[in-house]
Amino acid sequence: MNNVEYLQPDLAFVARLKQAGGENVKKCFQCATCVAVCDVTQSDKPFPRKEMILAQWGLKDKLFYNPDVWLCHQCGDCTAHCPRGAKPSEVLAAVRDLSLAEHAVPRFLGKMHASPAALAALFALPAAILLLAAMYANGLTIPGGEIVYSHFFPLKVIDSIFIPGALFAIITSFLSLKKFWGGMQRNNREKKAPDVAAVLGAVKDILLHKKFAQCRTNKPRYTGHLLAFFGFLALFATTNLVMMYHYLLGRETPLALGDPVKLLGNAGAVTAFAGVSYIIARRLAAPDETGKASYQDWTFILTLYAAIITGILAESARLAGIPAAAYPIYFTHLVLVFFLIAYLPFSKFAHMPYRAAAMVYARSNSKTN
Amino acid sequence: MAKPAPRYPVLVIGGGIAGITAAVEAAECGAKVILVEKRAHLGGRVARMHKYFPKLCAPYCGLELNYRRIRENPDINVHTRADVLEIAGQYGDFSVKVRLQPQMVNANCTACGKCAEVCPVERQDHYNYGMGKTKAIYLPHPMAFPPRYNISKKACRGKECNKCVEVCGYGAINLDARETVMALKAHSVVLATGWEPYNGAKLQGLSFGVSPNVISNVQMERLASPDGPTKGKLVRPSDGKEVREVVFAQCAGSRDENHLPYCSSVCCLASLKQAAYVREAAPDANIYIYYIDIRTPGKYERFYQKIAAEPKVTLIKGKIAKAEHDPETGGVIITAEDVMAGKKITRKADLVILATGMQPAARNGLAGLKTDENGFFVDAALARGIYAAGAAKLPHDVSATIMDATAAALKAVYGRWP
Repeated sequence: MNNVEYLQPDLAFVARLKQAGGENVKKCFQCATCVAVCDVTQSDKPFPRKEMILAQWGLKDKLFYNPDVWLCHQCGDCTAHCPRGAKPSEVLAAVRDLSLAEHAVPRFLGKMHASPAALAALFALPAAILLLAAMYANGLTIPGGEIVYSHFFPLKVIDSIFIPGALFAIITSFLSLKKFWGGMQRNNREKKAPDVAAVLGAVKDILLHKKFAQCRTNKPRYTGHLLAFFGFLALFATTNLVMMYHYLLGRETPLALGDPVKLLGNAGAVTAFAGVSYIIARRLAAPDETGKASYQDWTFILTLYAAIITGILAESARLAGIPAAAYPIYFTHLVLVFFLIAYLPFSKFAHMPYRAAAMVYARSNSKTN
Repeated sequence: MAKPAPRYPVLVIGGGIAGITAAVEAAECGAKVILVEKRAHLGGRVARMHKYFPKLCAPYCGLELNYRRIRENPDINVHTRADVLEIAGQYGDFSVKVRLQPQMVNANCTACGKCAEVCPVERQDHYNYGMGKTKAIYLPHPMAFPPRYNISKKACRGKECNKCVEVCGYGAINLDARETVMALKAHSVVLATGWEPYNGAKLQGLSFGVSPNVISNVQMERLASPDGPTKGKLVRPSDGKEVREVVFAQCAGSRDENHLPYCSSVCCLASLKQAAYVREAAPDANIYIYYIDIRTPGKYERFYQKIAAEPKVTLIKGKIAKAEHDPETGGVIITAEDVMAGKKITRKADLVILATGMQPAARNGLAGLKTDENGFFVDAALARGIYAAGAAKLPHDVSATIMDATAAALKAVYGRWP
């Protein structure tokens, strides 16, 4: 009897999970239909049937430090076929939502992101910093003449705000992921470090959206996510290239419309806009297929959408030559971008690092994956 | 108990094991009985079973005894090909309208079979759940009661063919017979309308109706039966090959809010019983039963233990949610989670038997009588003097049905005890 494992059910966690969108968790009777219809799960220790009983029993740590919770892509096939209406895909989504706060370093930022009451404060921070910066740079007056955003926010001001913001996101992501990774190793009694093949495999899966392609019930999301993902990637690359232009080549914004970097940025904006529009339309039109969206889901999707739209509008207003619209829109755009980037490990955006880490972990530790 | 016999007969609707039992019991209590069956023969679903659990004896033994009790009792009046249109009035004095389908074959029939020999038309054999064909004039099986041929009106070409009429030496066939409506009085009514297997084609992803090697449990009864389409030989329906891997898929439609939300209560025992058929007919075959929970309550626990201990029988916790045609072997590939092992598995099978559940046959109501949301009659919701019995009321196995039908017969004769 030396393998006795004592389970410690956390009933408060079950209550929290039900509130976070997993309200049907107790309906599950462990028939395992979900596993049989899931095309995304691995064959060895498959999900989501085992996660359902872990959730019913309130075994919080086994859920929070479990790669399978993140390997799930919420296709909804399990929910569509579940004979009890237990909605496994929504239970797992709720676990992921709660995980964000659980793994967050520092913890309070995770909690703030989970709470609608703290939303204003989260936006107020970048808004205040940027206002102060603009005041310092030009006394908060709208510059005359041709619209050049660096006259309002000089690049060195932007960089002195966004580079620390990005570094903060990188450091806190690393610390949060470390906690997550360590927990997975503890739970599985495995100590393997991520290997190169696993990383490459995961990156390939992510770029090709392989797992999304295996979904049936929520198949259209493949297209929406692919567009949003690559659109965002193009915009992210544009930002970095603009920085290189400035520091390495001394070339300043606004770039000519024919400039390759400008072309990339505009293509990225249009692609991301199309993708996120489609995602939002699907969520509104077919909530049964997309699954119920949580507060965290909507905060992220709408912030991202608003950032893309204000980006497009800022460029349009600049080209149209309407300073009174252009500068305030640009300011709003920067606030939204700061929110997305600096808070990345605490918002729904964190699905990117967590899911990537889970995919690498699963590939490093399981032969069947 | 010295109550006088009721003035009017007890009306029993349905000639399956519940209705037969209720009719015989009520008549043997001294009541007159009218037994109405919509098909041409009595015996219902039970007549199509190969064996009963847990004793593994053939139902025909018991049915024969009951047929004899019916034949020898002048107080039981049987109407086949008849259905009830209307029930009015009240306990002790119901007025009922019964539609008698055209009785194209009358009681002169000796079941000699000459008619079927000359009949040029074939039809799907419904008695064998679509496996095989019969002529348009047919006897579903040699022990059918009443022992009289029946004509499928849909398949029959009528008078322009007339071959059966010409060959019949007893004047038993009248292709001009018309439907009639009979009015009668009844003291009380027993609803023994029974059940139907849930339609496997509604189970998404299980290939029922797509692969011939995915069959339902009721079809399995016919496959195993010596008077079934294969004369009891257990072979792969697609090509007649011997079966080596047999898979039972439990809860095919039952305990599923997308299909039948309730447990059909007999399917676990039915599959265990059918595993015994496979052991007998194909001793080398591997048998796998995929289940959510094995539900064999009370004394049936022993039957479960007996079959589970059989060699070649493996029970696996995990519901089959996918069964696909295997183009390579012509068989079926099933997908499930082996819950106890924590592995998602696929398995190649020659034959997959879906343990389809019981659905009440009169689920849309009957002659204005309402059912509950699942299609079952609930005694408390029925008028006084109308009693449901057997699978019309709840999913029941045969022995529970017989007890329930006996109870319904007593209520029908003597009224509810105060």
